[in-house]
This record gives sequence, structure tokens and C-alpha cells, in this order.
Amino acid sequence: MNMTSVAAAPGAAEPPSAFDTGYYDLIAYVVSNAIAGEIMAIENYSEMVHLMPTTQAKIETVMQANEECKHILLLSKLGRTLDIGVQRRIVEPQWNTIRKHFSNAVARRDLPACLIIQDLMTETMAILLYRTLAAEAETDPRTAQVAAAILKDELEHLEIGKARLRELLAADPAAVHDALAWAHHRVMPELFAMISTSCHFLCDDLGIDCGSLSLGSIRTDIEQLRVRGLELYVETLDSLFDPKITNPLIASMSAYEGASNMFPQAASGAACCGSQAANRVPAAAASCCGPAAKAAPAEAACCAQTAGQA
Amino acid sequence: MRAGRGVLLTGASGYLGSLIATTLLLGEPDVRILAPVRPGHDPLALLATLRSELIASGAVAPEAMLERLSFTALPAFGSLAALLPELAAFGIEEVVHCAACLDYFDEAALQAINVGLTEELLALAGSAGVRRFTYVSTAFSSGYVDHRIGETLHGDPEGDPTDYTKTKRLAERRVAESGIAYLILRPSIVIGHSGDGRYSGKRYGLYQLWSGIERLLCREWHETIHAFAPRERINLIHQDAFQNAFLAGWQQLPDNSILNMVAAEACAPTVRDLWVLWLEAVNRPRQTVFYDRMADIPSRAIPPPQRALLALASVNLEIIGHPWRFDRAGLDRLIAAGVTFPEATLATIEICQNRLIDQSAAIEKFLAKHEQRFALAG
Ligand SMILES: NC(=O)c1ccc[n+]([C@@H]2O[C@H](COP(=O)([O-])OP(=O)(O)OC[C@H]3O[C@@H](n4cnc5c(N)ncnc54)[C@H](OP(=O)(O)O)[C@@H]3O)[C@@H](O)[C@H]2O)c1
Ligand SMILES: [Fe+2]
Ligand SMILES: [Fe+2]
Repeated sequence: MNMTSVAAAPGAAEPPSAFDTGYYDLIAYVVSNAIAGEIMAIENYSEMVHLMPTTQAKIETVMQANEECKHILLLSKLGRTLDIGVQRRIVEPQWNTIRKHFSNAVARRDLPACLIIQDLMTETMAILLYRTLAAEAETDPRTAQVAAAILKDELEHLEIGKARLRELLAADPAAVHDALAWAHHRVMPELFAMISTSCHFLCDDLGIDCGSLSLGSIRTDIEQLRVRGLELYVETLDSLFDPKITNPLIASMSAYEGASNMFPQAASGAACCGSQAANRVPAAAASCCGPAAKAAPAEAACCAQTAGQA
Repeated sequence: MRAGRGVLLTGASGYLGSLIATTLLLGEPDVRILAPVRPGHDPLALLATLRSELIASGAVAPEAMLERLSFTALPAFGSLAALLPELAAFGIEEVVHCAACLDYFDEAALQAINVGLTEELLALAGSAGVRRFTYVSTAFSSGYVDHRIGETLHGDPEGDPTDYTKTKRLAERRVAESGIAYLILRPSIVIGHSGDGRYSGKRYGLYQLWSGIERLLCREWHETIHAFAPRERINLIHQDAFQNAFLAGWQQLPDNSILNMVAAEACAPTVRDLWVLWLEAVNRPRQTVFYDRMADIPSRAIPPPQRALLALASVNLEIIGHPWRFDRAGLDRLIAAGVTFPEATLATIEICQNRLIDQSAAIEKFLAKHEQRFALAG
């Protein structure tokens, strides 16, 4: 469940044959990371079953886990069809961090926090990813088709989560608000880090040269993805919570990129793949990493850099 | 090496710290600066920032000036005392403490850095027999109070916008209680140079809003823009005004002074003025709806990018929307004695805004894309 932009060269949809190695490297990267997100989702849903209040809800949760299994199979098959190598294990560290927070919420029997992490936050980002991949003008038809099928499930998962949270909100709003703040500060930095920071190990594991993912194969740039992710997350929160509760949380997201300068030198490029690759890649190609991607410094900061004021 | 006065400057890798470094190098020929920075910085890159600021400020021999500055590694928390021998060798007589955490949302870091690091530095300064400790605080360290903010230590307010202001207030108290002679400087919101708009800081304050608009509202044209624009005046000071006031305060103010480095209220534009200035230059919506209160904005009904911008900037917008009133007797006295303090007016703020617009690829693309529409609209 990672996000990246995959795209044909600007212009109309092109047949798969027109996509270059860079494009397929990128798809391999994104699909692998998506599988990692799906693995985490299976584990999360399975771990929270016993917290669900009714038998019906337990059944529904197991079914959700089952759907995430199907997503892994679909994505693996896509890899075989496109003849690209994909990983079927969690590589990027952010997923494990989110898993740890989720387990912590389960240990505290904090059902609202579990639902918020898995059904709201992770699903919202999954929707961003699959929506991007499902845009036919931007990806090859097979990828678009698989992504569209998964997208349908993820949209449903989001709605199920929202319905459950509405009930919990009606019963104990303060507890849900606390859970939201707790989960937000722990999980959202990890999810957003995957739209911009380096892919720590995945490119290496896949034998991909990050620098080979050229600008020509990418249309939706990372900055745009981050903005779309932010908008989608705000939309999700607005459907459940009062802006008075959510505004300060969202304001804190402007700090995610750390301290980047106002006018960084875009052209100098970003070190792709963290410690893995010492090579500097041009800004555009840098979008290779991250759950999709890694932005050049200029692109890196989502919206307003944050925080401080005076 | 020991000729001249040694000054220990923290935060030199940051915006105001680098401005203070260049100010001291330019304005105090006998001052030598020892600047501890966190490991990981490339000293050459830090020097390059200082060099370009010196050149932009008209320095004729920047290299010679930079020879009077040395970077050193800032030891980890709890082991600042390790710097003591270096302080003695360098002949440190004064400390200017400008390092701080500005992340409003990280309570632990705010406490650890703004209060903890200041305490540790005070202890170090005490052991080193430092003559004076200058602390760069903030004009907003009072928290929310309903009276004019004086140039004295603050009591406990009714509330704080964030833990940032609270920890800066606590740090001021630690400085004042240390027994070392002190100077506390309280700048409001620092923006680029009044002459050419150059700015090397992060996206704080007004730059947060500008870059937020650039990133969120310049992807497509918005026919209507909903803006939170309280009629309050916004207190901005130019970086060159900050530098001049810093030097004058440092040279002239008696020990144990507190200086509010703030704009003259009469010149300060309102938040609404700033929105109009920006929207006329860039977004040019057909209609702008201004709101005096955040709560009046129909958050769920406005377009997603505008909603996201509002949320992202909400904390700063709330702070800006508060009626801050400052005493500036100290600064007025310095100005009367000859200090140049270019006020941030709509005209000079426009210089900073234009600099940002000129350097933005996103805005360039946006304006090119909508050239025809804007031409037709006149
Ligand atoms: N900018 C404004 O408009 C404004 C207005 C009023 C007051 N102020 C005050 O001015 C001071 C500097 O602000 P700025 O705008 O220059 O911010 P900045 O550019 O973010 O600089 C902050 C400085 O503090 C250092 N720092 C941060 N965390 C640290 C830590 N844990 N240990 C040691 N050093 C640390 C930074 O070092 P790294 O480079 O290693 O991160 C950097 O040198 C602050 O005290 C702030 O409260 C600023
Ligand atoms: Fe899934
Ligand atoms: Fe799902």
C-alpha cells in the first residue's frame, strides 16, 4: 500500500510495450511495497478480532483480513504477468513501526485506536495508492485493472471503519478523540515518510537501480501525491470529526519533513535510497524511492513546512 | 588567537543564528565567534551561507571576516561541560544563545531543548565565568494575555498558543535567575530583507502561509477563495531590522535588559491586507470570501485544497488572529539614538513576496497556464 506515481510519458495512454524499464522498475517497487502494506493489514485485522464487540463484527473483520490476502495474491499475479520481480515480505521499516503501534493499541484494548490506524489512516493511504495506479492514462492496463479491483475493497474497508467509529464516537467521544491524537502523531509521520523518504532497502532487494527510474516514466510527481494524500486524509477526518479537533493535528503534519530550507536547490537532486546508494540522482528520477518515492529536496516538504513561527 | 573578545554563539546553523553571526562579524571587528553546531553539518555549507549573507550585506573582505568564526561540534545533552576547555582556550566572554526547538507539536523536544539546553548552557557559562548571556526568545513568550506586553519577565498567562511559547518563557526565567548578567531579545516574526527580500530561513510564520498557498492553491485556478483573514495587524520585522536592532541592543543596552523587537503597530498590515497582496499577484480568484473567525469558515463545504491549507496553517493562523499588543519603548529609544529599523510595510513585504514568487517553479507554471484567463480579466 504505497503510493507512487507511475505514468507514461505525458500524453495519452500508451500500450504496455511503450513503457520502459524505468517504468517497470517503478511498478515492481510500488507493488512490492503495496504487498508489504497488505501483509501489515492482514496482521492488524487478525490481531484485533478479539476486540470486536459482536460476533457479526468479528466475522466481518476476519473477512476484511481475507480480502487483504486476496490483494496480495492479485498483486503477486500482476508481478508475474508483467514479468517483474516483486517482494512478498515487509522490507521498508515504516510498516513495522506502524505494526508496533497497532499492537500497542491492541494490548491496551484500545479499539478506537486500532480502527483509526487500520481503517482510517492506512486505508486512506491505500486508496490514494490504488487510485493513482488505477488511473488508466497513467499506468499500463493490467496494473490499472488490478488496482481498480483492490481500490473497490479498500473503499469499502474505509466505510466499514467509519461506521464502526461513528458508533464508538456516539458512545464515548472523548476516548475516540484521544485515540485519534495518539494514533495520528505515531502513524501519519510513518505513512507520509513513505511518500518522500528513501527506500531503505527495497531497491537493493529488487536489484533496481534507483537512478534508472527516469522522469519520462513518471507523471504524477511526488509533491502532488503528498498533497493529494493530505487532502484525502483531511476529507476522511472531516467525515467523522469536528475541525476543531482535527485542525491542530493536521497542522502538525507541516513538520513532517523536518527542517528543509525555503528555497532549496532542486537541481542538486536527492540521495536516493538512503545509505544504499551513494550516487546522487537527478531530482526527477529521485521519485523512485519511497513507497513510492523519494522527492528531491524542493519537492520534499509537504505543503507548509511547519511549525515554528516566532 | 586570543586577541579580541570571544563569543559563544548557539544556533548558528539556523536562520537567526546565521544572521547574528554575520552581524557580529560585520559590526564588531574585535569579536571572534565560537559556534557549536550539531554533528552532521557540513561546515563548508554553513560557511557558504554566511559568506553569501556577508556579501549581500556589502562586506568587502568576507573571507577575512569568516576567519574570525570557528564551528565546533555541539556535545550531546548532558555533556555540554566538555566544551569548557575550548571556551577557556577561545577566551569566551559572552554567550549568545539562539538554538531552539521550533516544532510546536513536539512537547518533549520543546522542553528538552528550549528549557533543558538553556539550563545546561547557563551552567556552562557560569563555570566559564562568562560576563553576559544573551538569549534570543520570542515576542510571543508572554502567552495569551489581555494586557500590553511589557519588557519585563512574564508571569503565568491565561493560556499559551503552544508549548513553544511556554518553554521560551520558562527559558527566559532560567536566564534571569542564573545570576549571570543577561540580555533577552524578543523578536516577533522575522521575514526577508527589506531591500531585496532575500530569506534563508525555514517556512515559519508568514512563509508557512505563502508556501502553503503555493503548494496547495496553485495547482489549479480557484474561482472563489475562502480566506481566514482577521482584521488584526500582523507583527512582522525584516531580517535587516532584526540585525540592526540586535547589534544596537548588544552594544548599548544595560545589563539585565529585555528588548521587544517588534513592528510599530501603525505601520503593520492586517492579515487581510496580506491575503489581498498575494491573491492579486498570484491566484487572482474571481471572488474572495474573508472570515474574521476560524469558526465561521464552512470547513466541510470548501474545496479540499483550501480546506487542507486552512488546517495546516490553523495553529499559526489562530496565533496571528490574536490581538497582540507590545511595548516597544526600548526599541524606540534605540531608533531615536540612530538605529535604522526599516518597518515591514505592505510595500516592503511585497518585495519579500515577489522574491518568493520569482523563485517558485510552481507559481511560474500556474501563471503561465492561466495567462489567458488573467489577461482577459485585465
Ligand atoms: N524565525 C523567526 O521568525 C523567529 C522569531 C522570533 C524568535 N525566534 C527565535 O530565534 C531562534 C532561532 O530561530 P530560527 O528561526 O533561526 O530557527 P532555525 O532556523 O530552525 O534554527 C534553529 C537552530 O537551533 C538549533 N537546534 C535545534 N534543535 C537543537 C538541539 N536539539 N540541539 C542543539 N541545537 C538545536 C538548530 O540546529 P540544526 O541546524 O542542527 O537543526 C538551529 O541552529 C529561536 O530561539 C526562536 O525561538 C525566531
Ligand atoms: Fe488491501
Ligand atoms: Fe483494506
